[in-house]
Amino acid sequence: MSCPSGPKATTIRRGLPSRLGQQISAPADGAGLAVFRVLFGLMMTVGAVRFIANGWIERFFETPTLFFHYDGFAWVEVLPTWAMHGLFWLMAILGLCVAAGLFYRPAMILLGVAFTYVELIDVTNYLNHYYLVTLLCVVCAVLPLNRMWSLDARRRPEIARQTTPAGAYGLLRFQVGLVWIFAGVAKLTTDWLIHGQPLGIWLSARTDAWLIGGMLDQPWVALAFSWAGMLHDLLIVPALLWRPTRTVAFAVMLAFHLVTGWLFHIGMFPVIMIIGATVFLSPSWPRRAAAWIGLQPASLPPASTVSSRVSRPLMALAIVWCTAQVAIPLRTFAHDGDVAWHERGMRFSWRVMVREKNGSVDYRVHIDGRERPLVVSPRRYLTAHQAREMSGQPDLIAQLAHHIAADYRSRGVEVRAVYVDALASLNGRPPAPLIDPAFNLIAIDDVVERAAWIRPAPTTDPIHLRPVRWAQPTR
Amino acid sequence: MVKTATLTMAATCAALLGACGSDSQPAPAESANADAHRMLLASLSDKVFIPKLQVASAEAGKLQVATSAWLLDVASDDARDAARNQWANTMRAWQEVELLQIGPAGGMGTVAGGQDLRDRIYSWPLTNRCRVDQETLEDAWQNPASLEMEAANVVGLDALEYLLFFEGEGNDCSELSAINTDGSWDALTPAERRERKAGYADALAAKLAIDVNALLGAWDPLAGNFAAELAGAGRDSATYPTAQAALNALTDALFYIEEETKDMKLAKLLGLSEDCPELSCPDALESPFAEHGLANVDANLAMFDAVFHGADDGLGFDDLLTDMGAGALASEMSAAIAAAKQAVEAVAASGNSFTQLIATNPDALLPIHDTLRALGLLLKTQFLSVLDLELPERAEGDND
Repeated sequence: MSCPSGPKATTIRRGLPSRLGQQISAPADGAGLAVFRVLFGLMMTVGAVRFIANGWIERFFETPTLFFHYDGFAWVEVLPTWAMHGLFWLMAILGLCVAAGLFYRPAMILLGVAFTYVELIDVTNYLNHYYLVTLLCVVCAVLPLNRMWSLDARRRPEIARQTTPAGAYGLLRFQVGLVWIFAGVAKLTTDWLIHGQPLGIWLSARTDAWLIGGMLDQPWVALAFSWAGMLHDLLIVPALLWRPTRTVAFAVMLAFHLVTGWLFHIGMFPVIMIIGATVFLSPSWPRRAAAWIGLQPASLPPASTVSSRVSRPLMALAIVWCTAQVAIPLRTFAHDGDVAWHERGMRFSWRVMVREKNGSVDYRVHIDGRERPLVVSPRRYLTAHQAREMSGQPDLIAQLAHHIAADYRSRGVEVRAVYVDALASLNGRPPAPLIDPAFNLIAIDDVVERAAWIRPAPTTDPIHLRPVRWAQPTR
Repeated sequence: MVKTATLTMAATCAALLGACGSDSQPAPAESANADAHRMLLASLSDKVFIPKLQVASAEAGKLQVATSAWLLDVASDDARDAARNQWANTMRAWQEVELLQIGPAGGMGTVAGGQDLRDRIYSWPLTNRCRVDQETLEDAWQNPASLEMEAANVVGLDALEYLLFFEGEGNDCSELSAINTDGSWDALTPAERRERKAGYADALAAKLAIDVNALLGAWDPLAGNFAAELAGAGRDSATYPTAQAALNALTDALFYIEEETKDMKLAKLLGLSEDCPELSCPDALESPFAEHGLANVDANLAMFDAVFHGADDGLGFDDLLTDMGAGALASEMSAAIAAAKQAVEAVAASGNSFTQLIATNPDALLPIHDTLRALGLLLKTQFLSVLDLELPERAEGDND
């Protein structure tokens, strides 16, 4: 990206912080971020309408009678269904406001708050890309993305700018880039790189896919996809940042996300990453593209290359934010063992699509005055979706144990202990105990204890699947 | 560079459009594992599902003959006993098909291709004996058209069981129910009640034969041909966009063994479920008047066994798992099925009925529950993982 310096560029000072400040405040063409804003806003609108149209408000927020809470957010309650519908329609409208740059900052803040609220209602709805949307909402609410090609700029010409501080691009690149980098690091496992799992399982079930379906059950294909995915995630950021490889990298990224979006149920994730990747392009790419098709002058008018100095508090805030963005996913590595098994630090760490896990959970509830424990199925409290998500996540299994005990106590029944028979199959392995069946789960009070009751991950290899070719019945 | 940027933008837009449309299924093509899935489904349709439905249909036809014979000779206990025996044969055949709540038998709107045909044949656990008593009194059953309009819990095998096997002179309604407060029930003599029950049973048996035949017709290659929907999944099926979706629908049906057989027919009965606050809950027993509870469990297992292992030299899930490299899982599941069947046989060999055991020694039934639990565990974990299947009723959502 070329960022012409203007006459009012930041005063040159000595030292690294000063040079960094200069670079952050240097003017860059605002066109790239304006288009990013439009695409992001439209995506939020499409996402909200899609959620409503698919009946997911009813499925995820009306049907369940119990919701799993994030630590510290037990106070978040679901709204009545009509209000949830209203909230999603509000998000759809706010997305349009963001896209149009109308009342941009309040719209983006409200959108972020509403989306984060929805995300916080139930842990079993956690998706990495929902988390990314929340983070992008925060970042975009701070950045001045409404100074160009926006209704705000038309309403209030005094805020209109053709440029934006280069740091805005840097911050968004950092935020989006981290997803790929950590997702790539998460794939550096023997399951992924040596055994080609869980992709081998998923691909062998997609052999109906057009054109390439017939080869998707070949073990070498799973391995090739695994390695390609890992290399893509680890290399795509430097390749997008380096100008000579940028165009090719963008095309590869596009192909990668289109293929994964086509083969797997990952919803809006590919769309978000593709939109996010546009911030890696030259800031003037929309202007040049428009010029190429004869819509607008190719270059940024020289008079408009005035820089906005980024204040020190804002820079400090950005540094704190970026540090946190690195630290949060890194917390995963503070725990021994396989994170895909014990799940400690799994969320918010960009471990995208690295496990196929299915569990079987039965609670044994010991109550006063009864010799034999009651066997309680999670399905009594949960939807099938919630039960499946919970069955592989020890902290949610413990959370439900506490809820069961509270439920019984609310009915006047004293619960002595709640044990669980929880077994899980990770990446096609035989089911193994996930939690110590002799551990009373309602005795757990704090997260520090969790390691004591989570059983070690199985040490066997994941399953190796073979393609099945039946010319005629084998018997 | 300008061209490159424009092309990039165009590609981005195309990508967004493409990704937004990613929920729709791509055009099917010749494929690998999917072909095996279709062959498995076709084989199960031909060798298991349709033959089992044919048996159920034939038994239902015989039941109609038996109830008609009883109606002609209402006072005859022999005729009634013959009808009872035939009910047991029909129920045995149905309890195998009961697992097959896929396609036409399944609920409309909840199961792909569902036509709600199952509930008209057997509505357990929605059984409502008071309603059957009321219908016995109202004579509406004499008109087949009005019988068609009735709720599922006053028709089908469960209502028939009550009519054929319940020997008491009372009814199942509360004292405040109209048939008791207005004295209409007591106004009938025992002989009149028996005659009405025989007539109602005969009307239900006739309807049952039609309904089971309708289900068979829905599968029959010469009629509804639902079997072709399974065999052509992902190709020319209007019900299943992929072979994987059809395989998933079938495994959803297999979860009957976990959710109905284990949890509803056993755990609740044995006081293992919180639905039963006591040490045992005999009221939860399925087919209590006919003492057919154990036979029902046995039949459920027989169908699961047939689907897993195939029948008549046909393909089964064990073949698929073994050939795709999960032979150990196939063996474990086979062993779990065998263990469950052995547990059922052991109880049957004891000569005690379900009802007796629940009253005197419910622990004797625990091995059946526990072996079914072990089977369900494999089903819910490694089986789902290896075949990349979803749990029944799982909300379709995003993933990452």
